[in-house]
Amino acid sequence: MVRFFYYHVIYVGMMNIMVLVPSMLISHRFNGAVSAMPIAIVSGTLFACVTSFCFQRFPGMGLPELYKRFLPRWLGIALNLLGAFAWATGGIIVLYSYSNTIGLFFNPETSPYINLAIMSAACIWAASRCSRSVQFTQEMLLILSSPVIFWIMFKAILSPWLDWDAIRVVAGRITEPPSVVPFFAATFVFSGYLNVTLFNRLTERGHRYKHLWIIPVFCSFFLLVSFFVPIGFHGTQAVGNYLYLWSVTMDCLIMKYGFIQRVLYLFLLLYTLLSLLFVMNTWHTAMEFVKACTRRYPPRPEQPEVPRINWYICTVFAVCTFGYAYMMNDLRNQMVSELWLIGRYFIELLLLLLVILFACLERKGVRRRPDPRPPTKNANGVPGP
Amino acid sequence: MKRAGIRLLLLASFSWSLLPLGGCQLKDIDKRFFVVSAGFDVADNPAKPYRVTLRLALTSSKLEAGASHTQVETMDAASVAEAVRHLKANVDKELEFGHCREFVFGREMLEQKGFQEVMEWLARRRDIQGVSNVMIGDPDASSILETKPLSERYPGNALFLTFGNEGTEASDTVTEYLFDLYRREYETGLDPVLPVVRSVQHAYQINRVALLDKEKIRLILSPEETQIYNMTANDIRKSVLAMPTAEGRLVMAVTKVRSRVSVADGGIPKVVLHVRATGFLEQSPPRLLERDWDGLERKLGRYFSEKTVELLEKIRDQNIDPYGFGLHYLANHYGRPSTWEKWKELYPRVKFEVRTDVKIQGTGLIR
Repeated sequence: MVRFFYYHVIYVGMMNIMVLVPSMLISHRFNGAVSAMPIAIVSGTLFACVTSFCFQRFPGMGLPELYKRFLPRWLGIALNLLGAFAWATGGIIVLYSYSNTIGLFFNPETSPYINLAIMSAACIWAASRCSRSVQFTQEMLLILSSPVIFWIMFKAILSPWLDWDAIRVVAGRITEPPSVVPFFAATFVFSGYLNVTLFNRLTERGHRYKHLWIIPVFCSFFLLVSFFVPIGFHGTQAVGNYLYLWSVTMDCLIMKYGFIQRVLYLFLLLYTLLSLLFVMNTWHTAMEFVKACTRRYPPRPEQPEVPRINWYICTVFAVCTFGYAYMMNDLRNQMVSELWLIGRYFIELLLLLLVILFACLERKGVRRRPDPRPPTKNANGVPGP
Repeated sequence: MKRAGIRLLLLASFSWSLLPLGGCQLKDIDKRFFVVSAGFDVADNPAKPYRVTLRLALTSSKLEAGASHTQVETMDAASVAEAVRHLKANVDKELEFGHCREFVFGREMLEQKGFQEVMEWLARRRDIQGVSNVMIGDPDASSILETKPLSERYPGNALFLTFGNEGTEASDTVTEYLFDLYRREYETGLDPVLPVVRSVQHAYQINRVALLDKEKIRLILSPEETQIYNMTANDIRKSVLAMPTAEGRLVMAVTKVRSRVSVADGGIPKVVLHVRATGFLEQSPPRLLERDWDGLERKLGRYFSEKTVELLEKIRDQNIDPYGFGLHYLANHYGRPSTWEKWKELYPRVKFEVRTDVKIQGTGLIR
């Protein structure tokens, strides 16, 4: 079942466009974005591989269960809430930027709140399912959308209007010392592995995260594409003038014999799917983290009936999204997502350290509470195969 | 049972309440005017210097050549955006730019004011496509928009079929897209180019290209030069390579062109343009090729190289760089800012070398 892990890795790699990673990188294109990228590739790969490797020692357990096992209760709750906050805000930012982009290009005459309402209704519904359904939804949507996304990417890369000289000019700035903000932004592309914190609950004994080489290969490709393709289409200078960078870049492509000649619309539709996936995953994870703070809701990743608390928590996230949309504009949103990207990096770092610590404690046999799982059964109490 | 009923009622009332939301803010297609091309000129009035001309499609169910009907509206204002807003008072339906793919800049405007302010408006509008065609109207944009081509089936399609090999594949029509113009407006070492459209009788003639600095027209090439530019800069196929010989004119139909630029460093950089052209003879004095096949290929190549060097020097003397030699040089030197300063200083003295490799595949059906 390791494929579910890589679905997350790959879709987060493609999602970076919606959390404004390219525009942050491009605003530093002449002072240190290029040299920050190789460092980000190394750091992102390292984080991803080490964290998922350590999680292998705890099959069937998510991060909240690890907290319960090794940490005092108050610390576990604090860390759970921190995680929930980070995830939920990520979803909120994406939902807002997405409904903004849709409002701008699809239907500027409707109120932005209507877009937001429809989108967040879908997100509430998707995120409040159980973890297993979320994962199946993920598989279906990704399989539907990724062939066309790859097709668009290669269409862009092979386009005769892509100016390789401009790309080489910017790539030549690798000699500048790396700067910090683009580094944090670029590591986001590798953050897909973070799904292990929750979806590790669904793994069985003897589970291995095989084929970890997929992470550096695919994510580096996505990083390079999302940075260099806009530069190739808009040149080294004009690329800095655009706000909706990737939407405008996709508008440079044309499908002569397609029923919609602007590739932009196809691209936006595909990113609707990806944004919904992202919000579904982040809200679902945040919801589970919040639920893990109390003793009333033991982890049940394969629960067919939806408990009411799921609806309530996701509705709170949706209400927060409306509050956020009310306070934000394009520039403030850019600033907040910048802050979010930076904060996320430190949370990842904290997670890495904690997980290494847990793995060491496990090896030594130090734990606060005994293993809740019976020896031949899964975490949810269903007998194993 | 009762709770399920309440839930159902709630759900139903919620979904019904969504229905009118879609209706009230969307205008139907029969209440919209589709703009098919837009033109920008200068007006004489100093308080209202911009003249915007829009060609609006009048939809009809007939579909045959010459059956397209359009309406042309003009408005002067202090800026393009205001002109478009005021123009709405002249028409009965809402203007819709989503299908507008032709933007014509008046030649006079490009000679006096430049295109930058109009570009600001075009780049800012979300409904204007990045892949729109941009061009210069000679002598002005409104005369191009008022032309009614006889062959037009849909309103406005005659003009966009001529670009980008969609309909005709003319070798002296340069295609320029809006996003590319915007890139060239700001790029270091790459300057804007625009095709020049003239209206002749009931058709458009697009066989010249204007080369611009960052604002205004510097040079308009002749049709022959335009073809050379198009072959060397855009690798355009289906062009001709003609050369006078002692026995008559020799014309090669080019089926494939590949060009590549390299910049040799030195005290003064030398730009080397490698061109490879493949084709067959379309017109030639009889039995000329079989006497000296290789020699003829070399001669054609040399002739084309000379012509191209002449053109490149003419362009260089205007201190413009539509080919992007500067950008290429910059790319070779890791994009250092000092290199750009150096290139700007050296460009007027740059030397050119064109190496043309002609390959004749055959002579057609006769010797």
